[in-house]
Amino acid sequence: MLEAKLAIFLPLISTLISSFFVRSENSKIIQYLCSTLIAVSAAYSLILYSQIINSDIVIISKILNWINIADLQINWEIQIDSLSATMLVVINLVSAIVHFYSIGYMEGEKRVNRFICYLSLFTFFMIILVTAANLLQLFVGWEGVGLCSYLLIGYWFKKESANKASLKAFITNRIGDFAFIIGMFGIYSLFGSLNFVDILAQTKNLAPAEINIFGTNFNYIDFIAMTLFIGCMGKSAQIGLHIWLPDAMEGPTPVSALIHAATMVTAGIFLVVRLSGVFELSTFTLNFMTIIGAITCIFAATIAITQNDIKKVIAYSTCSQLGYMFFACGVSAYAAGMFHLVTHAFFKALLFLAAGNVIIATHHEQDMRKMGGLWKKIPLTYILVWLGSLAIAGIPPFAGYFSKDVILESAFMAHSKYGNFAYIVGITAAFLTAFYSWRLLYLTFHGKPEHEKIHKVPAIMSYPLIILGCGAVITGYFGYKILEIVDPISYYWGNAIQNFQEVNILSKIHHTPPLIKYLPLILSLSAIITATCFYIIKPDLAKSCKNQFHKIYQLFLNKWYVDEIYQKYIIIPYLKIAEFSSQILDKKIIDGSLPNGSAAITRSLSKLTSKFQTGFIYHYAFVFIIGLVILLTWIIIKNIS
Amino acid sequence: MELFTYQEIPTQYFITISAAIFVIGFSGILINRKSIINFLMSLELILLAANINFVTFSAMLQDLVGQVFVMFILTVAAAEVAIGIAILVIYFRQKGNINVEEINIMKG
Amino acid sequence: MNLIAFYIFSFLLISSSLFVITARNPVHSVLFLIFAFFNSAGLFLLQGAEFLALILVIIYVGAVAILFLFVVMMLNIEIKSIKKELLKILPFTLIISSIIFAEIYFATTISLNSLSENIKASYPATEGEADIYSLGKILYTEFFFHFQIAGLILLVAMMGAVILTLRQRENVKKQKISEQVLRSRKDSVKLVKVLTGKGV
Repeated sequence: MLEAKLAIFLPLISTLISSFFVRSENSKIIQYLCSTLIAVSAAYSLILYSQIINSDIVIISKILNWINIADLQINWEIQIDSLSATMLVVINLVSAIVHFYSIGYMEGEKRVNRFICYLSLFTFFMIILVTAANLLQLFVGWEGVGLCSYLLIGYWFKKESANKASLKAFITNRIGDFAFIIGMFGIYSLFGSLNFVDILAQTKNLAPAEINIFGTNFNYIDFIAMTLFIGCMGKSAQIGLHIWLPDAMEGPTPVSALIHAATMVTAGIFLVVRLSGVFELSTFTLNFMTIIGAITCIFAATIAITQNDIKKVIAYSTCSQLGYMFFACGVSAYAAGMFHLVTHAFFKALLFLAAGNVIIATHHEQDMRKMGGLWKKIPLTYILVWLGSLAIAGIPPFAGYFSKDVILESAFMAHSKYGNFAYIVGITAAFLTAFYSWRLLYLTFHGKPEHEKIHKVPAIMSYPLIILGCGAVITGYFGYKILEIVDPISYYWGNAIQNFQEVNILSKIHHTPPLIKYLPLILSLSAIITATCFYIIKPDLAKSCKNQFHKIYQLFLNKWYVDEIYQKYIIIPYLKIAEFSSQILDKKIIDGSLPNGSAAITRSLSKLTSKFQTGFIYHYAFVFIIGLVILLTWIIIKNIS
Repeated sequence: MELFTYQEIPTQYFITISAAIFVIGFSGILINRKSIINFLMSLELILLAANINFVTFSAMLQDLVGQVFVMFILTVAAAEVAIGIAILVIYFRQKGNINVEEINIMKG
Repeated sequence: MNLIAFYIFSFLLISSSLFVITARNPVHSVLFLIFAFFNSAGLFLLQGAEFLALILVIIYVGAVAILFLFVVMMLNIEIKSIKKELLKILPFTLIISSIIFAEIYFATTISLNSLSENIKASYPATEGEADIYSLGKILYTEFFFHFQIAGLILLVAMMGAVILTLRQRENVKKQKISEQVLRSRKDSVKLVKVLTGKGV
C-alpha cells in the first residue's frame, strides 16, 4: 500500500537527508525540504486514514526478519488498524506543523539542521511505536522517542540546566521502562508470543493464570498489567514519575509542542488502548489507573495555577489532561480516552506554539509577570490562544467540550467508588483548568504593557498555527457527530479496542442525568468569570489571596515539594550507596584483596622467606642437620615398627 | 701360651668409632666460629668416618668393593679440598680475613 | 693383642679429633688432624686393608694436610678464644650429636643383626692374597671407568685451582711468538743517510 509506505517512511528519509547536513550551519533549503517531506507524509497518512476507518481493514505486513531463536520469533512488522491510523494522522500532522514552525522559531540559532534531523527522527520513532505489530517493536519506538526527547531537550547542550533536564527525562523514563520490560517478559512467558494479534486472541483463556513471586501468588494478568502501566506512568508523566515534564521545558518550544503535548506523552495512553484486551481483565490495574489518573489530574492543575513561567503552566496542563485520559481508560472508556488524545494534541500543540510566538515577540522572555498588553501587537496569536483556551476549558462547540465531557460522564456512570472519586476530582480539575488557562491569557496579553518594542513574529510561525486552530475548533464536533468516535455502535475502532464489559460504558453515558452532564460546563464558565475578576477587574485580588493562603500558595508554587522529597529520600541515599559501593566495596575491598592484595601478600611473604637466606654457612649447616635428623628418625622409626 | 692371641674385633666397635668420628665432625661444623679452615677440617673428619665405615664392612663381608670405594672417596676428598682452598685464597685476597661471621654476602 | 691395639688407636683417634675442633690455634688443629689420620691408618691396618692405610698416610697426610698447613700459615689466621656464642649453641649441638650418633649406631647395628647368613660378596677377596694385589686386580678391569673418571676429577680440580687463583701481573713483558715470526724487514730496519758529524 503506497500510502502506508509513504506515511511511515518519509520521516525516515527526512531524517537521513538532514543528517547529512548536520555540520553545515544553516541550510534553509534542506530545512524546507525536510519539512515538506513530513507534510507529504501527513497528507498520505490522511489518505490512509480515510481508507482504514469505518472498515474492517487491518494491514499487517512483514518487512524483515529480526529475531529467530527457538520458539521466539519476532519480525519487523507493521500493523495498521483504526487505532494506528488515527495516531498516524495526529503524529504526522503535528510534526509537519512543528517542522515548519521551527524553521522560523530557530532563526538565528546555530546548527538548525541538527534540530530538524532530531525532529524527523523523533517522528519516525513515534511512527514505529504506533505501527508496531509486536510488543518488542513498540518498545523500540518507546525507547527511541525517549532518546529523541533526551536529544531535543538537551538541544542547547551548553546550558547546564538543559543537560540536567534531559538526563532527568531520560532517567525517569528509564525507570518506567524497567517495569515495561518486566511486563514484556511476563507477556511472553504467559502468552508465548509478543505479537498483538496472538496476545489479544488468547486473553480470555489465560485470565486465571497465576504467577508466584517471592512466595505469594498473584494473578498473572494483574501483574503484567500493573508493570505495563508503571511503564506508561513513566512515559506519560503520571504522578510519581511526572518530575521530568516541567523540567523538559528547557528545550525549545517546538520540542515541547511536539513531544510533550501531542506525541510522546501520549504513547502511554496508546499502549493501554492497544492492549485494552489485557487491561480489561485486570480490574485491579484499571482501578489503580483511575486513581492515579485522577490524582495526577488535580495535582498538576493545582500547581499550574501558581506557576509564573508560561511554558510550565502549559506543561502542567498537559500533565493534568493526561490524567484525564488515563482515568478514562481506567473506567473502560478507551474510545473516550483516545478521542481526548486527538483533540488534546491539537489544542495543546496550538497553545505551546502560540506561547512560542509570545516568547519570540518578547525577546525570549518567559515569565508571565513581565509580559502584558500584547493583544494589540500580536493579534493573530491572541486569537489563537483564545481558541486553544476555549477548547481546553470545554466550552461548546470547541473540541474539548466533546471529549472532556464524555470522559467525565463515563467516570460518573461507572457507578463505582473509583469512578465517583474520579468524577469529583475531574470536575474540580476542570474548574482549575479553565482558571489557569484564562490566567495565562490575561497575564500575557492584557494588563500594562511591559515591552515597548516587540520582535516581529515571522509568518511561517503564525500561519501553520491556523491549521491547528481549525483543528481545535472542529475536531470535537467532527469526531463526535460525524465520525462517531465514541459511539459504541459505530464501527470506527473495529477490533482495535476490546471491551469486555457486559454493557459498553460508552452506551451508558447517554443516560446521564442532565445536572451531571452540564456541571463541567457550568464550572468552566464560573472559572472564567473568577479569573476575569482576579486579573482584569480587581488585579489586587490575586495578591491578597496569595498572601492570605500563603502556605498553600507556597506548596503549589514549589510543586508540592516532590522534587525535594525525591532528592532527599531517594537520590541522596542512592548516591551515597553508589559512592560507598564504588569507593569502599569496589576499590578498597575487592580491588584491595584480590589483585592488589594478592600482590601485596606475595611480596610480603617473599620478603619473609628471603630472610631464611642469611648467608652464614653455619645457619645453612644447621638446617641441613635438622633435616637430616628428621629424615633419619623417620626412616628408622618406620623400619622399626 | 701364645704371647699374642688373635681376637676377632667385633664389627660393632668399628661402627661405634665411625659414628663417633662422624658426630665429632658434625659438631665441629656447628660450633665453628673461628674460620673456614676449621670447617674444612671437620669436613675431612666426616669423610674419614665414612672411610672407616666402608673398610669395616668390606672386612666383614670380605668384599673388595668397599676398599675400591674408599679409594675413590679419597680422590674426591683431595680434589674438593684443593678447590675449597683455592676459593678460600681468593676470598682472602678480597676480604683480608676469613672470619666466619662476616661471610654473609650471599644473604637474600 | 689386636684388641689392645684397637683400643689404643681408637682412643687416640677420638681424642685427637676432639682436639681438632676445639683447638684455639689453627696450626694445632691441623696437627691434630694429621695425628687422627695416622691413627685411623692404624685402624685400617687392623682390618687388613694395609694398602689403604698407607695410601691414607701418603695422600691425606702428605698432600691434603700439608696443603691445609700451608694455607693456615699463609692466611694468617688469628688465634681466637671460644666466644660466648659457643655456649649458647653447645647444648643444642650435644643433643643433635647424640641423636645422630644413636641413630647411626642403631641403624647399622640393627641392619647388621638382620643380615642374612649367606650373602654373596660381589668381588670376594681371596684368602692369603695381599690387599694391593687384589685391589689391583679389579681396579683396572672392573672399575676401569670409575678409575678414569676419578682421574678426570683430579684434572678438573687441578685446573680449577690454577684458574681460580691465577693472578696476572700487569706490565709484564712477555714474548709474543707469533708477532716475532711475522716480523718483516720493513718493520725492523730503516735505512738512514747519516751526515758526517750530525748523527741520526
